[in-house]
Amino acid sequence: MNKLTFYLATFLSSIILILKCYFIFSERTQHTYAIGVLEVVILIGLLFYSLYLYVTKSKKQNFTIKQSLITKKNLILIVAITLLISISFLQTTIKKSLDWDAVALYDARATFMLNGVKFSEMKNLTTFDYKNKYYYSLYPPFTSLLHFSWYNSHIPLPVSVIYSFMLLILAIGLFAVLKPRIGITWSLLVTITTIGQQSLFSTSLIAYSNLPYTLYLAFGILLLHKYLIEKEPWWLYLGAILVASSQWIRFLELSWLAVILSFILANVKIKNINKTIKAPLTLISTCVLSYTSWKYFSEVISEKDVIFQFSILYLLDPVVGIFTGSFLVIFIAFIKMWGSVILVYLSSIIGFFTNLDDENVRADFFLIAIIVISFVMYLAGLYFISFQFDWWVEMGGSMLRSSTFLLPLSIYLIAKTTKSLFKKKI
Amino acid sequence: MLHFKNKQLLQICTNPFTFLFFWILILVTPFLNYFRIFFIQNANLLPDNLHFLLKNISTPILFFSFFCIFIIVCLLILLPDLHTFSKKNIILLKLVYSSGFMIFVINLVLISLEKSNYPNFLYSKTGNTIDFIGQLNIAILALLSLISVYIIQKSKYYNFFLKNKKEKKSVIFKLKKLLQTLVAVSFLLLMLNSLNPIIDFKRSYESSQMSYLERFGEEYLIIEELRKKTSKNALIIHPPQSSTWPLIGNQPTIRYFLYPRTLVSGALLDSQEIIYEIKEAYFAEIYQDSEKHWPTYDLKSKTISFDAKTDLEFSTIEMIKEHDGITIFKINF
Repeated sequence: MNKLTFYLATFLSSIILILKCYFIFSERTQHTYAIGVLEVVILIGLLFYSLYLYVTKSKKQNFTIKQSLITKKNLILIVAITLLISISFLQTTIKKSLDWDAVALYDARATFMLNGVKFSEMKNLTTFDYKNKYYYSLYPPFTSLLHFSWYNSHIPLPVSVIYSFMLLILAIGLFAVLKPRIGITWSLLVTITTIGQQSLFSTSLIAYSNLPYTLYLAFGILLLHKYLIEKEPWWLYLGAILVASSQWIRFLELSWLAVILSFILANVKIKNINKTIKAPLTLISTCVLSYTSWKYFSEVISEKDVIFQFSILYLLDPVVGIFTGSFLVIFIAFIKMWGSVILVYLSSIIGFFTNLDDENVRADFFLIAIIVISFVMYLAGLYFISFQFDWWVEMGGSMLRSSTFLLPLSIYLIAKTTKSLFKKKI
Repeated sequence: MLHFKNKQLLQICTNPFTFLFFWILILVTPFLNYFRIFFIQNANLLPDNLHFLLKNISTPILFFSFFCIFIIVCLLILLPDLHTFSKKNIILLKLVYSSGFMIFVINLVLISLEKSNYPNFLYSKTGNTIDFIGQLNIAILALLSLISVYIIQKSKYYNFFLKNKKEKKSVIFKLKKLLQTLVAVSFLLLMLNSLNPIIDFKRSYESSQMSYLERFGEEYLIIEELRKKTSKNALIIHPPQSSTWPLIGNQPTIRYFLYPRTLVSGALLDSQEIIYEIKEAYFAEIYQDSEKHWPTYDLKSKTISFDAKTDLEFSTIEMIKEHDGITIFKINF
C-alpha cells in the first residue's frame, strides 16, 4: 500500500507542477515572476529528491493483492464504494449545465484562456463592472487550468467528469494511506463513510474548487501524519508539496497555517530543539514560498486589490465587540452554520482523548490540532468579516464546502476509536 | 470510587417515572406549537399574556427536558448499581424506543411535506417550523443512542469489553467506555449518512439534467436573445447588480454566455461624459410593466436612465427584436 500511496502522491504533485510550469510559461509579461519560477524549481527539486530517496532507501515491497482484501465483507464494502463513485460518474457524464460559480468563474476563465486571454489580462474584462473588479484573480487558476486542459484534449465528455475522477483518487488515496494504520476493513469503512458524506460527495457533482482542495490538502495532511509515524523523509516532502500546492487551488482560507502550527506542536521535543525545528522547517518554507508566490502574482502582476482589510482601525470594532456581546451573537450563528456536522468533529476530539494510550498518539494529535485550530480560525475569520461585510450570514454553505478536508481526518479518528472499543480486529 | 452522600436524591433522579416525565415533555413540544398557532388564528380564545407564554415555551421545554434526560442516562450508565434491570424498566425502554421512533418517522414525513409543498407549509398547518422539527429529531436520535449505550452496558455483551473486575469498577474506565461507545454510535450514524447519495439519487440526477434555462430561470432567455442578435464585438449595457436582477445584473455570470462582447454595468453610467465615450451599445428592455422594469426611457425627450437615477441623452434608438416580452435595442449616443 505504501507503493500505491507514493504513486498517487507523485501523480498529484506532478499534475499541479506541470500546470504551474505551463502557467508561468504562458504568463510571460514585462513583469518578472521570479518568485513563481523559484517556487516551481524548488517544488520540482523536492519531488525528484523524494523520488530518489524512495527508490534508493525504501524497503522493497511486492505490489500484490493479498487474499485478506478479498473477503466477503470487504467485497461488500468495495462494491458500495464503487457504487457511490459510479453514481458520481453517471451524473457528471450527463451533466447539461454547470453550476453558478463554475459558470461565473472557474469555467469562464478556461473559456477566456481558450480565446488566448492570459490570466493577468483578465482584469481588463471587468473595467466596466463596479462590483467585481478583481473577481477573476480572486481564486488561483488551478481549476480553470484543469478545465482548459480538458477542453484542449477534446475528450467528448462534460468537463465535470474531472471531479468524479478526483473523488475516485480521493477514495483510493484514503484507502491506501489508512490501510497500514487501521487495516483493510476499517480503511474501507472510513473511505465509504468519507466519500458518502453529502457535503463532500456533492462537491464531486459541481465543478468548483472544493473537491480538488480537499483532495490535495487532506491527502497532504495524511502523508505528514504518515511521516510522523514512519519517519520516512519522502512522506514529509510529498506532504509538504501537496499542502503548499493546495494554496494554488483555494487561497482565501489559510488552512495551511493550521497545518503548520499543528505540525510544529506535534514535533515538539523539549530536549531536542534540532529535531523540533528540522521537519517543520521544510513544511514552513514550501508553504510560505507558495503563499508569497501567488500573493505576488495576484496583487502585483494581476493588480488585485486586498479584499479583507486588516488595519488597526478595523481591529478596534471586533475587540470592543468581545465585551459588548457581538462575539456571542457570531458564535451562536457560527455553531448554527455548522449544524449537525459539528458533532462529527466533536466526536473525533472525544475519540482522541479516550485513546491517549495509543502508540501513534503524537501523530493523531497532529490531526486533532488541525481540526481545533481550523475551527478557531473559521470562527475568528467569520467574526472579523462580520464587521466588514453584511453578507457574512450567507457564508455557512461556503464554509461547510471549504472545510470538507477535515472530514477524512475526523472520520479516521472516529473509526480508530470505534475499532479500539472492539479490541480485536474485524 | 465516588461516594455519594445523598443516595436518595439520586434514586429519585434516576427513577423510571422521572425519566418518563421528561420524555413525554419532549414529545409534546410539537403539540404546544400547534396550540400556539391555533390560538393565534382564534385570538379571542386566550388572553395576550398566555399568547406570549405559548410563543416562548416549546424550545426551552425541549432543551430543558433533553438536558435532564441526558443527565439521568449518564448517571444510570456511570452508576449502574442504582437500579436493577427490572421488567418495569424493560417495558419503559420499549415504550421510549417505539414512541421515539414513531415521532422521528412522523417528523421525517413532515419535513418531506414541507419540501414537496411551499416554504412555510409546515408552520401554517402545524405551527412547527422545519428548524424546530429538525432539532427535535436530533434530540430524539441523540437520546436513543445514549439509551442504547445503557442497554449495551446492562447486557452480557458488555462484559466482552472488560479485561478484569477491577477495571469494571473504575469510574474513569466506565466514563472512557461510555465516551468511546458514543463515538462508535456517531460512526454508525455517519455510515448510515453515507447512504445519502444513493437515497438522494433521483433528485440529484434530475439536477444534473437541468438546462441553463432551468438552472438560471427566465432571465437566461434574455441573455440568449442578446447573444443571438448582437455581433461578437458589440458593447452591451446590463442592469446594475442586485437581487432585483440576479442573473442579468451579474456581469461575471453573463460574460460566460456573451463573451467576447464588452459588458458595461448600468450602475456606472451616471454622467453624460461617460456615455459619449461609448457611442453605440445594445441593451435588452426587461420586465416591462413591472417594478423590475429596466431601463427607464422617454422617447420624446430622448433620455434614458440605466442606473435608475441619472437621465442621459441619446441621439437614436432602434428596436432590433421583440419576442416573448424581450425587446433588444440598439442605442447611439
